[in-house]
Formats: sequence, structure tokens, C-alpha cells
Amino acid sequence: MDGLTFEARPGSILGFLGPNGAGKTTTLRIILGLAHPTSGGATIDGRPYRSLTDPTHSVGSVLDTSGFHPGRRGRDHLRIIARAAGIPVSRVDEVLRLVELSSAARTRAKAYSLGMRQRLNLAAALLGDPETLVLDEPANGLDPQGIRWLRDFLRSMAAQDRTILVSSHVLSEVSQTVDEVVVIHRGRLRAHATLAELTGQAEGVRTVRARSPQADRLAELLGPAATTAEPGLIRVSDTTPEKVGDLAAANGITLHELVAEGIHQSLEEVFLELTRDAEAESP
Amino acid sequence: MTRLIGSEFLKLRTTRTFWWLSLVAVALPVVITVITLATSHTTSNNDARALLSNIGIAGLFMIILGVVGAAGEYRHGTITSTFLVAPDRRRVLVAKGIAHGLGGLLTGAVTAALVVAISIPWLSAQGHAVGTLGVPTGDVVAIAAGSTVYAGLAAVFGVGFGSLVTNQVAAVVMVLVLVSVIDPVVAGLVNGYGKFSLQGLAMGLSGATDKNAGYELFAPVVAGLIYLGYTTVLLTAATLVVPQRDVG
Repeated sequence: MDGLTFEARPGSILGFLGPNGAGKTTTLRIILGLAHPTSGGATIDGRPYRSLTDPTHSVGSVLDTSGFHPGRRGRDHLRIIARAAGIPVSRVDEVLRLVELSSAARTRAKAYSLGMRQRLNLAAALLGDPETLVLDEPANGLDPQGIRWLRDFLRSMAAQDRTILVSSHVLSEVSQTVDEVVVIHRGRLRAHATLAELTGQAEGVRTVRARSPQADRLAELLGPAATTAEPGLIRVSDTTPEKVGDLAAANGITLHELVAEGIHQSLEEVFLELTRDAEAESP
Repeated sequence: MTRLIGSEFLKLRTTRTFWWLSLVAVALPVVITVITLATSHTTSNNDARALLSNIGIAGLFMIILGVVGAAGEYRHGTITSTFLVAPDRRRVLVAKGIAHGLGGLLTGAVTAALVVAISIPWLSAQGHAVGTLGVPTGDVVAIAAGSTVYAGLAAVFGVGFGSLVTNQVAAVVMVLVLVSVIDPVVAGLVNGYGKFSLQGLAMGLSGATDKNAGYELFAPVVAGLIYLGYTTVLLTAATLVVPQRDVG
């Protein structure tokens, strides 16, 4: 890590991105007081992790997909953490239900699939009902339904004004979840921006596709930015769906489709661009 | 602190390691006692004390219990969640030491109760009540208590060792080589070291005689205090090293 500074805010999900080996996990370990930086530090609500009086209630974290004694039952793993944090056993069963792992609660951890281990880790992170969540590659090993569930879950947590930091090496995995992203590579900050800003950075312009029975009228209102792609369909450059939608509404124009085009691809492009020399230099 | 000790107890109870090691720790001295009683005649004070000091064998397994309890957390990565719940790692070490120490005491007490319950009536049936062999009731109690304390201290010793050498396999091998090869060999070779050796202290605590050991032993209380000193040194070293360690 070298001169890396960023901040995650309550009520938003911050994506922490970088290729494998970029230093994401090391950064998260420093935040959680598990590893020592040579200089600098990390604070949670203004305090270093190690000086938190009740860390389990302040921060919940998922660091990797291991971290269980293979011969210990999943529920016992959680009971051990709960006991140390002074959390009642009823909460253990509650979080097991929350991550949909109740049926495997009394199975020994060695029989858990990757996805089950990930859910058990998430359950452990939620035990203390923390204000902040720090999740390292939480989608690893989850099936598509699990990823969808995780996304909805994180959104609901953010809606409760919690602070969420989630790392990934795949931007597309989190692009539907996060509000902001921090991109690092080789331990250095490459970008800290909202998703919209990051997209703008790649294309310079953003294109919006609008389908309307009154497409011609809309194109007229939008001026030279709008081009007619086919009858009833126009493309508008350098704008946002919000602007086009507002304009249409203000003029009583019906919209059948309003899409920001190519965000997905362009985000991947930005990501590859930002981390390109890391790929080139790796053996 | 109570919460951390409770959590460490749960860790012990929820894997099979503790139960298996404790089972062996209890069974081995009991089996050795039974075989000795069945195959040889216990006719001297020395024989009787040697028989009862078999209880101390449980301590070896309690050292391993402690080593595995500490180093195993690094092996399985559970140390991460342990330190996340309790970022003050010194408190974790103390809680782990206490929980394992109590676990060792419990195992030692069960072993002592069984060995005493088997040997005393058996010896009486052979016509050699321990009293007539020069082992008064008070000494029997002292031997049982000393061996029990040894099993408890041994578990804490193991926790200190396993916190310093966190590679579990290496730690178990090293502690076994230390306790069963290096320590007794040096004790036999170096004049005057015997009574300070791990083996010598264990024998002193479990009431063995100088003749059993082959060298002079400390009285149980002194041996116990010295062993406690070794254990304290190990745990203190761990409280200095462990907080500086990057885990995961």
C-alpha cells in the first residue's frame, strides 16, 4: 500500500476494486486491526479498530471463505463469536435464518460448500447488528440467486444508513450494487468516483437511448445532441436518462424506453484501463 | 474477560480434539495403573508412589491440548474472527490460558480420581494398603492434587508454546521432542538440572520419589511454583509477540 486514502460514508455502498494482488485484502486487514501498516492508519467512526470498545457492534466483516474449524458445527462457530461479544444465542439463530443457513446450522463446517461458508461468514458479520460492514469478495462462491440475494441485502443495509465497503476484482459483479468505487492497483489509488463519474471518464460522453411515439418532437427539443436511429428511436449524446426523462415529462411526451447505453461495457473498460499495467507486468 | 473465557471454553467443547485428548489423557494412566497392579507386586513405598504418580501422564496430553488450542486457531484461520471480536490480543491469550488451564485441571482431576479409586482397593486386596507401604492418606491426597495441578499448568504451558510457534504441526512435533527427548536427556546428563527440568518438575508435582526420577526432585509446592514460573514466562513472551503479528 502506498499513499492510499479513501473514505466510506454511511448510507452508501463503496466498491473497493482492483485486480487480484492489488492490495485489497491487505487494506481491509489494516482497517480491521489485523495487520499493521508501516505508516498511516485506518479509523472507524474516528477510532482505530483496536480501540473500539465493542467492535462486533460497530463493524461486521467477511474476510475470506475459510476461517472455520472443519470439525466444528456452523452454529457453534457463531456461538463462540456471540459468547465473546456478549450476544445472546437467540441472535445466532436469527442470523442463521437471515442468511438462509438454518438447515445446515448443525452440520460440521468441513461439509460446507463455498457458498455456505460465505453465508456463514456473513452471518458472523451480522451478529452484532453492526453500523459498518466490511466485506472482502462476498460474492465469491455464491450462485446467481445468492449474488442477487446479497445485492438486495446490501442495498437494504445501506438504506438503513449503514456504511458498507465491499471489495471485488470483478467490476461487473458490483456495478449494480455499489454507489461509489475506489479502484486501486499495486497498492495505489487509481480512482475514487461515483459509478456515473467513472463511466463518464471512459466515454467522455454518455449516450441515452429513448423510444417514444413522439420521438421526432423529443429530438427537436433535445437539439443537435439527438440523432434518430430508427423511426421512434433516438440516441442522445452527453446527457443522462434523468435529463431526458425530465424534459419529456415537462413537455408531455410519452416514453416507452429510456436507457443509459453501454454503461456496463464502459465500466469494464475503465477498470481495465486503470489496472492495465498491473496485468502487463504480472508474469 | 468472563465472556472471553466462556468463548474459549465453547471452542474447547465444540471440537472433538478436547474430548479425544482428554479421553486418552485419562485412559492411558488408568490402563498403565491397571497393568502394573495386575502384573507386578507393589511391595514398597517407592512402588506405591510410582503407581500413583502415573496420574501425571495426563499432563503430557494437556500440553498437546494447549498447543493445538492455540496454534490450531492459526491453522484453521479462526484466529481472524477471534481477534475481530477481541482486538486486545493479550486478553485473548489470558482467556485462552485460563480456559485451557481449567480444562486441564478437570481432566487431571478425573484421572486422579480414577487412578486412586482403582489402586487403593486393589492394593488393599493384595494385602498392602498404601498406609502400610508408608504412603499416608495425606500423601495420597497431595499426589492426586499435585498431578491435577500439573495437568492444568501443562495445558497453559501448551497455550504459551502454541501461541509462539503457530504452525500447529511444527508446534506439536517440537513440544513432543522437547518434552520427551531433549528435556529428559539433558536432565539425565547435566548434574543438578534434573529437578528444574520439565520432567523433573512434573514428577515432583505428581509426588514421584527421587529414586523414581533418578535425580533429586523438588517438593510438590516448589515444583509447582517453578513450573508456574516457566508457564508465566511463555505466556508473557506470547503477550509481547502476538499483538505485533499480522494475521490471515
